[in-house]
Amino acid sequence: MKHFLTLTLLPMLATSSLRAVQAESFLIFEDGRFDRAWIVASSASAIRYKETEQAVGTKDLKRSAVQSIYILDPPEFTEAMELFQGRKYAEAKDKFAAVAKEYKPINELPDNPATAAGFYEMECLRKLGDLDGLAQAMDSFQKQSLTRENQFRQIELNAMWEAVRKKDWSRLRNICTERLKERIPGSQRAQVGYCLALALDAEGEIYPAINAYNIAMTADTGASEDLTRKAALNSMALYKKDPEVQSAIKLWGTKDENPNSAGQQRLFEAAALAELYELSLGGGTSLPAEHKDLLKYVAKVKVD
Amino acid sequence: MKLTRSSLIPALSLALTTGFLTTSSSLAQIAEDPQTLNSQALTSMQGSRWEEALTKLTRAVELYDRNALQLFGPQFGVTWYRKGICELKLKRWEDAAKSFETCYQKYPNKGAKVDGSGNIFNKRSLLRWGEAEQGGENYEQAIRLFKKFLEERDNTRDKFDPGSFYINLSICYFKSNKIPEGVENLETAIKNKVRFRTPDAGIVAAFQALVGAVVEKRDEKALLDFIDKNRSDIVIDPFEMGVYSRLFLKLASDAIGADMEAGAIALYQLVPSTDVMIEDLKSRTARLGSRDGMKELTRTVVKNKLAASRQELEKLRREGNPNETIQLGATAFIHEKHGNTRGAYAAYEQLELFFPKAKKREDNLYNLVRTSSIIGEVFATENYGSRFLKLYPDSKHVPAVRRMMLTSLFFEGEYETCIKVASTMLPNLEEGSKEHDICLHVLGGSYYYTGQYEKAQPLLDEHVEKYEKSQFEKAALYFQASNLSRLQYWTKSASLLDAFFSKYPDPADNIYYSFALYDRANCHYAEGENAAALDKLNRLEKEFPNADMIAMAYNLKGNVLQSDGNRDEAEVYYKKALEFGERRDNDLVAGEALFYLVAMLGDKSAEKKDTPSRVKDAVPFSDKFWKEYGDSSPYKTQVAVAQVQALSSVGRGEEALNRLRDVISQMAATQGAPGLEEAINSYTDVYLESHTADELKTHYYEFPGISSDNKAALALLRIAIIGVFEKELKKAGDNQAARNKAEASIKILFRELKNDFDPKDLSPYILVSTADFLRNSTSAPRQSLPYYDEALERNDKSYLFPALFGRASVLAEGSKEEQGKAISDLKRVFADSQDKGERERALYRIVETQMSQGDYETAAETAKEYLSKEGNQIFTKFAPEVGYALAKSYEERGEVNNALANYVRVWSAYKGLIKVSAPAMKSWMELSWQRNSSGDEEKDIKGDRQGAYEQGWTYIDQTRRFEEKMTDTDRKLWQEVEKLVEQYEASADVKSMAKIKAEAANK
Repeated sequence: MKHFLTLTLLPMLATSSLRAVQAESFLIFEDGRFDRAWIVASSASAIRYKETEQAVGTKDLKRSAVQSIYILDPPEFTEAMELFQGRKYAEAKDKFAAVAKEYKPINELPDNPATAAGFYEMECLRKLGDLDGLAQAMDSFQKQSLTRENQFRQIELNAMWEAVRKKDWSRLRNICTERLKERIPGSQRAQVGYCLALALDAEGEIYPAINAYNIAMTADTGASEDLTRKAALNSMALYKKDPEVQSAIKLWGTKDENPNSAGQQRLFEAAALAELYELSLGGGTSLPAEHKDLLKYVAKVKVD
Repeated sequence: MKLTRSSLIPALSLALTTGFLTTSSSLAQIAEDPQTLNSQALTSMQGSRWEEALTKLTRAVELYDRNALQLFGPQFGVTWYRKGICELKLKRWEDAAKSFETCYQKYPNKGAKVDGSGNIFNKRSLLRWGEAEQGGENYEQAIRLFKKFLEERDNTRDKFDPGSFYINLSICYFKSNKIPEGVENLETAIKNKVRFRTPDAGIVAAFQALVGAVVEKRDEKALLDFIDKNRSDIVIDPFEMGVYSRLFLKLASDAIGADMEAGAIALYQLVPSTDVMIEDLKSRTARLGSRDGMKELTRTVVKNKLAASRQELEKLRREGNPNETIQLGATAFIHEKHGNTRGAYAAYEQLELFFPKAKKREDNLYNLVRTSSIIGEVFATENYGSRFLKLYPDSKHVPAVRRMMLTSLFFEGEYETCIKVASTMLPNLEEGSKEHDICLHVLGGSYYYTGQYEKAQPLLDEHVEKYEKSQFEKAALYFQASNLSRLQYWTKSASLLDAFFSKYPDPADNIYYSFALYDRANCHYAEGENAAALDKLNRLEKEFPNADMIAMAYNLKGNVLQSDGNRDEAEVYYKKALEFGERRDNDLVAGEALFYLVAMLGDKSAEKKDTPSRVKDAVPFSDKFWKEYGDSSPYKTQVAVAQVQALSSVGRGEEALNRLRDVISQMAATQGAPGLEEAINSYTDVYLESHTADELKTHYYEFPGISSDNKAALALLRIAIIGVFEKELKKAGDNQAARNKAEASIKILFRELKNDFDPKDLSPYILVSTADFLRNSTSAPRQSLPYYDEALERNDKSYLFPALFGRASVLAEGSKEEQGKAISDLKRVFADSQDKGERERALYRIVETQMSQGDYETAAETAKEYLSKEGNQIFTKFAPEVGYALAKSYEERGEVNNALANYVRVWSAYKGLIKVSAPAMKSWMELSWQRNSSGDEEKDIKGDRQGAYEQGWTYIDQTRRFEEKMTDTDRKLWQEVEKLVEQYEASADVKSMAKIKAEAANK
């Protein structure tokens, strides 16, 4: 192994090396050789590491001396990810926060667990609807070590969520309208659709809002279950605000019922959403009591 | 499935799970001894040269198996085991099973030759045997063997890969449709993934088997439960999913095929976005740096595979068919199937916007047009429909897209766009096709809804005629009938509406029923059938209290009641209309109701003498109108006109005048604003109360707010001035100077009007006024025809009947063909005008024209209709002329007796009306003279000639006193009778009146 530093690196490195963190990694050199290493600290230009997990002494190396640093996912990060994938966002958030904190000394390395954990901690906050927390986390998040384009875009989209937090509907509408013109991953388009719907909803535009909620429900086939669920519920509530739907409900089963009226057609749509909620959109949660009444209009759709 | 702790490998190779055959020195020298053959085979196996290895091992068992147990003991079983391994690798399942079975059955570790480690693969061959049976799809047998292996294996010697073992066991259970057992074993493999080193590929394979089993057993719940419970373990990292994504999509598709939509959605959700997968692949590749791969605990990351996966994903993306196209298409299908068409629309729109190169774009775009049409996103339908037609002009969906574009626009009320699109389409469509049916209906309906009734009618008629079985039949019949009422063809409309009610009598199944009732009531009212109108309106009120047009119906009911003189009740209904209009934010109806209230209450002339005046009561309604509806209501002119008396009664006359002036200025700025002439006329009346006609003329030439290029308004003002001078002319009486002045002014003004204004610039009112002037007051009445024609072209039908009548009057003096056209115009007036006077005049003019045509028989029938005393309306105004025409028609047809009888009726009943009685008398005398029947003196019956003379003489005698007052024309007619009397008196056949009188005196 070459390029060891004999001089003390940056002060940060010196202090960081005192911490307990050690990230199991492989230092890969340009000629194909590799060394196993447990990195304890890093800066923009150097790393400090141990050669064995149990070693007491550390070595320093210029970043330019290695072609790549393959950091294995720490077990606690893997655990957090499993919770995240299992949709247990509150528990995952705490674990990600712990990983982000623990591995902070190496957060200047590309694709490092601290930055990744910080990113997913924010994802948890977003999915939990904790927009204050998200805003706070965004303030201190260092995105430079991210390596995936979609993650960078998510950081940009978090600004969109900030507009939601501030209820800045006009700005939100502008951001979303522009974003919807881009081809972006379905999970992000779902967010944009959902946020646009919130803006339209707040501005009283019932059907444009419902249309936008439908983008949220379909963009990634409902994989963003947190958004899908809320989008479906908000849509059902909007349908019920429509005076024509209210009239259709009132006239249902009476001699004045008009199956061809716009109100009744929209009532059928609301009923379809209620049914889809139970099928999938609810992400396993049952349809709230206030919307259960909609299910009775489903049967009629089928009969007709 | 996450990265777990791992070790780097310099290069990848498959680790062979093999044991070592203990060699025997006694056989080492032989070229084909079992040790050599095994050794060579082992070398080949390590190089993955399975066929080569199998040849050696097959040779070994051929040569030695018969006595192997005796010669080598159980150790020879290893050869069979290795042979089985080669056969497994070569997927020769039956051969492999046989080899492992032999290893297990024939070479157990017992007996004399068990030296060294014996057949070290004896128990492990059970495991491999099971795998061979699994490969051969003998799953029950495989399960039995796997279990047997677990029971018999030596825990220290028979090492195995538990991850793969439980995966295989679960797959066999799933393949045997034993889902719970399969799930149990799969979960064992998953939960112990790190310890068992369960491969991700194995989990995917087992999951695939699980989906296969649930699809076959239609056990969706098992799949959903499994995913819910194990989501974190089956969510594959994006970079790995590139390899499996198509498999997952296929599984999801299978689930949809089995009507397991929730399961399908759950499976689709496991596949991340293509961009996310590619980004992860890039990141992982970069992380590997110069290395070829990384062996992690449960997976091996291989750079080449990452590159291949990325290449494949990028290719799909580049070619426009990434996974998203399948996911979104399926999502659309599921949402629409459940009735959420809006969700399907959202998905199809994303497909069109972001995956325009998709193989299925044509279908996707078509579905986008279709779903947008269903949910009423009319502009999207138009936009994407146009795009579809441009991109796929030969598609089988083209007719449907065209239909949807139109019907969508139509049902959303985008009538102007419908007219634009359908007008272009219609000539290019084949008559009798569904497209033609729709296009014709939409175009006619759009003209109807936009008030272009003249254009609508032929299209609506054509549709009804050509498409009796159309899906729009009900609507088409209603539009046809209703449109006729808008064109004021009341009788025909009434008849079609009655037929409509007969054909679709059930209001519950006829959304047009209430509208048709309203239209029918309107027809009744127009035809003076107030009782029937009230009957229909009462039905509307009772049966359709929430109908869209109920407030309009209240206004109409108010009109009918007011027309019946029932002002109190009319007021109640106008107020009801006002209340409903306000409640439903229908400003138009509310404004209309206020207008009726102002007009009725503010009309002093309509009040009864013995009741207190309510003119002042109109003021609050007038104030409300201006405060709440004055900006936009089309009734502001009428209100401005109608409120004059009411406001004047409370000392606000100046305000009324100013309001009128302002309204005139405002309306003048709007091309074709209806009611402007009424406003000007009303303003004129009020203005003249304090100004002279000349002052008015000056004022109107510089009317505030009306610019010189506003021809329509200026023309109206000129006409108003003409009207004033016409009144001046009447007032002039014998004052010749005043008459001359008025007549000169009128002539000049009309000449200016004719020279300064193009008919296209003039309102119907001015057109008809000018035409009437040209017809009645000039020597060139035919010059009026272009004005009448122009007025009749207009959508504003306010002067329809005067224009028709005027045109007919001119044409009636023309050729036979023109006379026919005149009769047609007059019949229209008679049939549909709401004005009794107009109808009466029209019927009279029909008689005249038919007589002029020489169609005496028809003329007689028309005359009888006029003179009939039956029916709702009795006409008297032109009875002398019509009676004369009837008599004349008999005479012309040679029916002398009938002619004589009718002439008598005319001259005896209307003796003082010289212009009719004189020619009637003359004709009667001549006919009698010609008939020359002899009288009967005994019975005191005079002969025809004597009678003709005597009646003529008496007529002249009795009417002589009017002679001085007769017009020249009348006098001439009268003198003709006088001359005839003198002529007859000189005849020998006649005894003169002088002689008769003398004889009488002598008696």
